[in-house]
Amino acid sequence: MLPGGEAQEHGPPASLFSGLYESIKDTAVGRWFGFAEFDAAQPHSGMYQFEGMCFGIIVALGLSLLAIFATRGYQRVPGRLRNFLEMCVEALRGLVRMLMGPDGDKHLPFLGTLFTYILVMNLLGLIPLFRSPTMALSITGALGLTTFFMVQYSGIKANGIVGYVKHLMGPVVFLAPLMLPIELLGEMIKPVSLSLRLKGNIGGEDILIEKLIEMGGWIPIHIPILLFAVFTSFLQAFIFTALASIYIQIVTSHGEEEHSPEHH
Amino acid sequence: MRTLSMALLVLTVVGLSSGLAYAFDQETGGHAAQSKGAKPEHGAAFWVTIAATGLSLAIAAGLGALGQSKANAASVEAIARQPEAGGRIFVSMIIGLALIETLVIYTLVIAFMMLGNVG
Repeated sequence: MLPGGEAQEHGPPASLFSGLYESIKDTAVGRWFGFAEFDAAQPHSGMYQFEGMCFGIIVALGLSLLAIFATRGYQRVPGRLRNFLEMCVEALRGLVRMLMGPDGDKHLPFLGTLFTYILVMNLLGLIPLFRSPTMALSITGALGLTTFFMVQYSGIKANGIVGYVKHLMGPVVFLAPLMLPIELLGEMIKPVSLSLRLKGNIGGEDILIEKLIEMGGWIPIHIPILLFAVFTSFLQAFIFTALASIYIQIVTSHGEEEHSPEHH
Repeated sequence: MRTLSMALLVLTVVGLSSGLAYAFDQETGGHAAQSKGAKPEHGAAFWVTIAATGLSLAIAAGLGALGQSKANAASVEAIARQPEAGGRIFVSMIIGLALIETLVIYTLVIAFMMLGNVG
């Protein structure tokens, strides 16, 4: 593939589901998933998609079980786990209120779950034998589509369907034939930019770590990048949540003329 | 202090284990792929793709760094002018930096796709 020695392409390090992927890759199930098209676009992408799906389901189940287990029963004085989780919820509520104003509590469940899910998925790739689901376009595309539908639903619920279309038509009515396609295109590009931003950042970071491991051999020269990747995992989760909350704020607070500049 | 030393120990073990995994894999399985045969013939499209990938990423990274430096400089100056608004300015700076960085990441994704199809 690249000029140079024949034994240069070592491939990404294996993870927990690599064996499963190798066994189903050439069967009818593997062809139904369509890993070959992903492999044609970017090397080893099919494996990333499959492992991403498995780890994504595991993370979702794990977080759900943690939430259910930590909140069952009444505790007059919260125990350690419940106290820690309440601190996390308070921090997320402060974050959402800072970004959306005091009426952001309505969207706290969605935005808080988004932040926690993306954060855990980003950090998962830094553990050996695990892979970040967010380096797969299928996972980030799903997150972007979910955010897109949530933004449209919030806009329609806050303004009504007529008010929402009037919001799309812009401030001056007779500019509507010009503003409507531009606004529609702006709405369509949002999930694309959200998903590609998250995938490119986390995927690029993880592939950089893989190449550094390959170059290092016995010497772990990838450790500084591992530490930096913890920071960028937090940062990317924060950016996704912040942009989602800004998009929701744009469509719901249409009454006040607080039309912040379009983010693409 | 004890949790810090425990955290450093865990980090060292994690960091060394991946290097160990690669070293063992190279001893057992990696060298089997070395006798794969002659190098394939590379046409002009191959070299042009390689050059285009490298050049596009270099330009994107350079211009992205210029844009981010302007955003950083403006926000640091604003914080110096009014330190009590530092939190809000910092959050706006982080969001702005990530939005500028997105364009560089788009170029990186296209570069991965080009490198995948180059052979």
